[in-house]
Amino acid sequence: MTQSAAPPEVSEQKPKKNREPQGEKKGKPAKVEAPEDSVGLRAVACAIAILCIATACLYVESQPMLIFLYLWGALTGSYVSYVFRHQKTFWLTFITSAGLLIVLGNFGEEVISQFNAGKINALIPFIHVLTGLQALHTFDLRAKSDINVSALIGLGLFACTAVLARDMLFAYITLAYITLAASLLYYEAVSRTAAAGAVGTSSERAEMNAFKETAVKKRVSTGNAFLSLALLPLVSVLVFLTLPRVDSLFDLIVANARHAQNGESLNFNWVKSPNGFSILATMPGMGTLKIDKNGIENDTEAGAVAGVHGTAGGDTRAGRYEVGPDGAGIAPAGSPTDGREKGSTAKAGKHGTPGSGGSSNSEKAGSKDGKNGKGVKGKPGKSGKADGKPDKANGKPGNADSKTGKSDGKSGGDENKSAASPPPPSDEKTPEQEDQSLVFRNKDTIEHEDDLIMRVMSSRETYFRRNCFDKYDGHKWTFTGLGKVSKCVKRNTPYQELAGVPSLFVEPSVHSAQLTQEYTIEDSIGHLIPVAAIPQQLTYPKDPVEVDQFGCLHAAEPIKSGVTYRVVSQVPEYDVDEMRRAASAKNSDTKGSENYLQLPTDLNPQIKKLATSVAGNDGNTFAKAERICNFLRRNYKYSSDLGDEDAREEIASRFLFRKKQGACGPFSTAFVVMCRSIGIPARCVGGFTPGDFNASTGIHEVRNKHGHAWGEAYIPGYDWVPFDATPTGLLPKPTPEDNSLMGSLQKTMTKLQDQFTNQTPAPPPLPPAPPEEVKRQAGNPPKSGEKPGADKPGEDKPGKNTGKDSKSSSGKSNGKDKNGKLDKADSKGATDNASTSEQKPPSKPADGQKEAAAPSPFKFNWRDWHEVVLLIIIIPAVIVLFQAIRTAIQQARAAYKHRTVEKPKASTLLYLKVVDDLARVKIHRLPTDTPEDLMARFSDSSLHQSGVHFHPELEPLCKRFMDLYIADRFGCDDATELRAGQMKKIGEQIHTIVRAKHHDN
Amino acid sequence: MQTLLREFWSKYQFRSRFVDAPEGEEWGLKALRIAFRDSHNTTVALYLELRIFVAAMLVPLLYLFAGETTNQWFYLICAGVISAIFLGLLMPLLQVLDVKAFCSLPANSMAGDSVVLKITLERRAQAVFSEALFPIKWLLVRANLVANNGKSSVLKPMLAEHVGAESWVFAATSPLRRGVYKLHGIEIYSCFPLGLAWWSRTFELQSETEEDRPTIIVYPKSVQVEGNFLYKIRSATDSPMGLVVNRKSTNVVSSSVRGLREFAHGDSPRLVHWASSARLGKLLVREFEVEGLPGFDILLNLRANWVNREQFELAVSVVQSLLNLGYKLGGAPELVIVPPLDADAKHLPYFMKDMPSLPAGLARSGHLLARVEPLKSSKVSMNPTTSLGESYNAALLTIRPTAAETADSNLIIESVDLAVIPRTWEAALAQEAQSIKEAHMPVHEGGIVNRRGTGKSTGRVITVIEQLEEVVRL
Repeated sequence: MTQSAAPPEVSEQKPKKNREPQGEKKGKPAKVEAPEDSVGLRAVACAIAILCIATACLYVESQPMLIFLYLWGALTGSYVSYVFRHQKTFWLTFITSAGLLIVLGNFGEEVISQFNAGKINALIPFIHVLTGLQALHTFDLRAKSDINVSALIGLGLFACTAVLARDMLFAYITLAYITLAASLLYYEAVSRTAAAGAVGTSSERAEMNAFKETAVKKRVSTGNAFLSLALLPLVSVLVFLTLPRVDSLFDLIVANARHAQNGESLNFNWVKSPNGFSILATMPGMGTLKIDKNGIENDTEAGAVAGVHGTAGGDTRAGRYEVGPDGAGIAPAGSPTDGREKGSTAKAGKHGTPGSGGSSNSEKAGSKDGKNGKGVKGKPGKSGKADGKPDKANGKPGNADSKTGKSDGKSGGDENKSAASPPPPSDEKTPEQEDQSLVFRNKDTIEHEDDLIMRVMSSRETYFRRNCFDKYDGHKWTFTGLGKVSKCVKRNTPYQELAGVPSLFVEPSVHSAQLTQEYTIEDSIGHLIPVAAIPQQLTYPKDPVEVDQFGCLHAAEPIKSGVTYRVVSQVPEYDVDEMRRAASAKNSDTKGSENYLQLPTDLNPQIKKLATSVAGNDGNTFAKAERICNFLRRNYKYSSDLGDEDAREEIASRFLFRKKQGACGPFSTAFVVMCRSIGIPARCVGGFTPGDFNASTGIHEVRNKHGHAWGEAYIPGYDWVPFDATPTGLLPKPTPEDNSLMGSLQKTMTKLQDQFTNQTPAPPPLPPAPPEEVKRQAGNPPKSGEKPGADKPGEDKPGKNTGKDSKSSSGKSNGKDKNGKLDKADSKGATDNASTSEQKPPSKPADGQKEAAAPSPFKFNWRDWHEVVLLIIIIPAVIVLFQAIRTAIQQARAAYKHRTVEKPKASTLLYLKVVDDLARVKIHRLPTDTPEDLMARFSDSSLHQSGVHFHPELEPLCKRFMDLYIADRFGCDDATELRAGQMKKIGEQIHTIVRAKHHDN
Repeated sequence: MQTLLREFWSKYQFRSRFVDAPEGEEWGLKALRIAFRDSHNTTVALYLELRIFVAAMLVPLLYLFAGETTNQWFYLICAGVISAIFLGLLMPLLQVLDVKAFCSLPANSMAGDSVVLKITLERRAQAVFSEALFPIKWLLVRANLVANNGKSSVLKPMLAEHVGAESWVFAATSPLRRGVYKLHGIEIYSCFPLGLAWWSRTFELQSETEEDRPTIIVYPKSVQVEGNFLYKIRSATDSPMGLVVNRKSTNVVSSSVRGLREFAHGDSPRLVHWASSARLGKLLVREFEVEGLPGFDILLNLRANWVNREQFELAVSVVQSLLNLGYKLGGAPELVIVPPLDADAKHLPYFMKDMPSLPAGLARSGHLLARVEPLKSSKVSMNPTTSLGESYNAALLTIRPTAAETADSNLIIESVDLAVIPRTWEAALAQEAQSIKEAHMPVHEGGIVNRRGTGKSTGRVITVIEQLEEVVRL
């Protein structure tokens, strides 16, 4: 074979390949794979391991020491496995095994810690395990298959990390991973090809220039190869953009199973977007294209898709509650005339209504171009500050005092205004003003109906809850007070933990599914953060986030366009059949708060009659509320017509008896009023419907027109259950199917956990409030200058807390349990339940903690045994290490001895040669034969009988040879060389004689 | 059916005695092969290994996960895998479709030698642009050179690192065994650059019949005989002049005169020894040394009890060497093969299918010896009468396996006997069954029977040959 132009790299590989034992290829069924010699392949495998480890550590909180160990392990392991690829080293196996033990120990410890903390999230410990495994496996990269396994582990780790990572950085990391994977595949392909065939290329150039030419050519061709490899990331991006987006298959299956059970038609529409081109709009600086069903069109307000930080272009208004024509003109908060007043009151109102600057600065925030809003920004805020009373000194919430007519707060001001003179219809409310009361839109807001409010990435459709109202004066909804406000901040977590907030308590008896949603706000929407009920974790960029007694989230600053946040909610899944049947025993539980039973004094008594007749006497609370809801759905029409406004007539009465049609506002109002009239605590909720699902992006787009109002009724045992009484309303059955596979797993884990711990993991409510305080809150609104937030010493949260009281009184749960839960919530430290009032919250919770701690004198905490667990793992590991070193030394000694044996003496070789020659005359040496035994075969009678005749000189020569051999082998003189010469001579003579046998015969 | 059975039986006669491992090394990919014909003489095949199925299984898994988690970057990872599969399938196909392959090979060789084939690879796309952007690299090239008795190519795949406008690959075989090798085609394989799937393209060589394929004849080994064993044959002469045969000496020139003999037709008048002729009254000519050596024909019995392949190869090589010697000495030794391979064209054994029609001579003998195979001994002979050559004056040499000295010996004797046998060899064999001693054998044909005491009676063993090198000093 002519090998004139073999490139240097390959000629390096060739001798290495020859090192493979030849016997391996033939005959043996279990082939031992040849060690991999390609440095490039190993380097890329190492790079992939490091990338995966770094990515995992970036998105999953890990200890710095562990991160260092993982990265160091990946580097060292890659090098060591390359150096020792031709040897079977025990200590490498040991390192891998010991490391695996430690990684698994760490996994167990993390899981146990989570278990103790009451919340198991197996993904993060699993990622830690994979990370460790990835690092450890680099010590075992001997052959190509090992490298492939390492790449697969990397892919698994990468995929697990992708569950947590949704930002743009991860896209770049993914592209880097794809590029590295392409390189890995390339080097692996080269290695496999080189192993399959010998190099036999010759350049087409003249041989005289072959070497030089090849060197140049090699460089060029390598570069070309990488050009080809660059195709993979490019094609990947193209495929990514064209790949159809789909819904959860699990959801689809579950939904269809239920549909099939109910006899409904099946839905096989799995693909929710034909392609992913619209994802381009989510890239920074690329928000100009939008692919819709009809093709590409300019998107002037293209914003970020949820989950991706993007830029929003449009300046639109916040959502308006489409409450119908009835409210039009009725006290739209935020009229320019009361801006100053609002500024002061809003500033004073610190309970999350702090529209403060926002409310005061936004007289014209509704203007489409936003210029006015900008221009006015700040000034009213300043004036608000200047004119308003100091927050803490005044402590005034933005509450209206309808009785006094004083405008001590923004809402109050609005109310007074509305009562006195209807505002000009052209005036619009700012979002902050809308936070204060459920105001109804006027005709002018219709033209902004299509303005985009936010984009939500969600795997299911949910209502977005924003604010809540408990006080109804016949014309509009307000709230009596924010109650106890919990301030939530990020503490050692990338998110605000909401799970411990009482108003966001998840009833343990209600089955709920975890849902993660990502929101991108496209317009200024005030301070209230829209979320799906019931939020448990919030990743909001700015701390703090306050949670009021209604479970509404208040941002510290106005939520502006471009803000992105993520919410993890426990979405309740109501089993209505069970609720109809099982809740009868809990009918006595009426939530306790009179706030939610408040009705206007001049309410039409016909409403109560109607409600009583509709709800009936049988059934439990839920059944009655459901009947009312169904009654409204069936007998009243939805209409968004804003004409025929009459501000003086009570909304519910006019809707129920006169107009019999309306938008969501009258529907929700009528529902709540009817419920209250028969003694069911209810309240009115504002927010958004799920919005338009953009099939091209897979994102829910919530626009102005999706502003919605619905009611919530308190159902004992199920907490606040939402009812959307509009004919197309979905609530309270918002969850026809389960959310996701992960959610199911989570539920299973929760169930298991409940079984083991015999306690519910849900966060605790605050201790019960004194009845007098509840009364005071419900019936006696705070006077001017007082804070209605019930943040005085000794005060406690109204409403929900009392509900819990009722629950506990009904025997559903006892105080001890709740206190216990509170313990946990407080110990987690994720939630700051401290009131924002200047006065400290009551010390009851602390007392409760003490009480809870008292009956449990000893509590086993794995954290305390952390070191012990580590010692239990490390001590055997060290013992095994010493044993391994000892074994390694022994192996090394044995190998050294073996090497010395491998060099036989010359006399041994001569002896073996003579033995071979003697086989020709049928004198065979058995394995155990000594030279004497061999000589004894000359006189073997069987040989003579078979006609074998020896040459007469053969036996003496052999005798002489054997003597010399024995002397050489066991002697201790210096005549070795001399004897070797003699033995060689005799051996040749024996050889000649034996071969001459046939001639002589 | 009867015809078929008859034909089968006729072929059955020529079964090879040894079932050797098929020549050539099996090389292939453990993969699912999907092939289709590209053109009338090229076939394209796709090899799908396990890895691509693993990758294909990852795609729906990642895709479902993307749907479950609504995470865009899962789609990106999934897209990466899809792209890798797509490019992994497409790019090697483009590689193999862009290459043309040609081959040149030597016509003949000798057993034990390696043969080097030169394979030329050309790119179809000549543009520099395509060469720069889409290089053809890491191409496996395999010439499908198959032995007559084999199925696989004797050539291992060769690696072409980079294929430019024209590149050459030199493929060397391992030392070849005696036989006839035919080039069936050239295969190129590529999995560049991702190695997820292999594509191959087979360039079949255009030939209408099997015989027209490019062929390499690998002749048996032969050595130059320098010994004087022919004298051993001559010493057994019964001629009064000590001559075995009268041979023409027209083409033999030697200065060494051995003696005188009677004039034969064709002798040069210059060689007449006039004095002796006058004295004896008949024409006597000078007999030269070389001329005096006996002529011989060589018989190779394919049905002899060949112990193993090596013994038979040794015999064939000795026959080839002796034939060369005969021609070198100016004679025209005839190669007699038992059973005759060209008796019936219809019932030719498989290894004689492609035997070219050549006149008697060294070339024909070489072709025959390159093809012969040891056959199983058949009790029923289709050709009971074997022609043992025309010249009954020449000695008939044979190379036959050395008889085992003892029946119970565990030793495998691989040596062969060089023996002189009578022309009535077959008849003698038949009689041997009745009585060994009854076999008549002229003295000049080695009639001294049973000289070794243990051998068969059908000839005289001149020597035992263990290795071919011994023939040099025969």
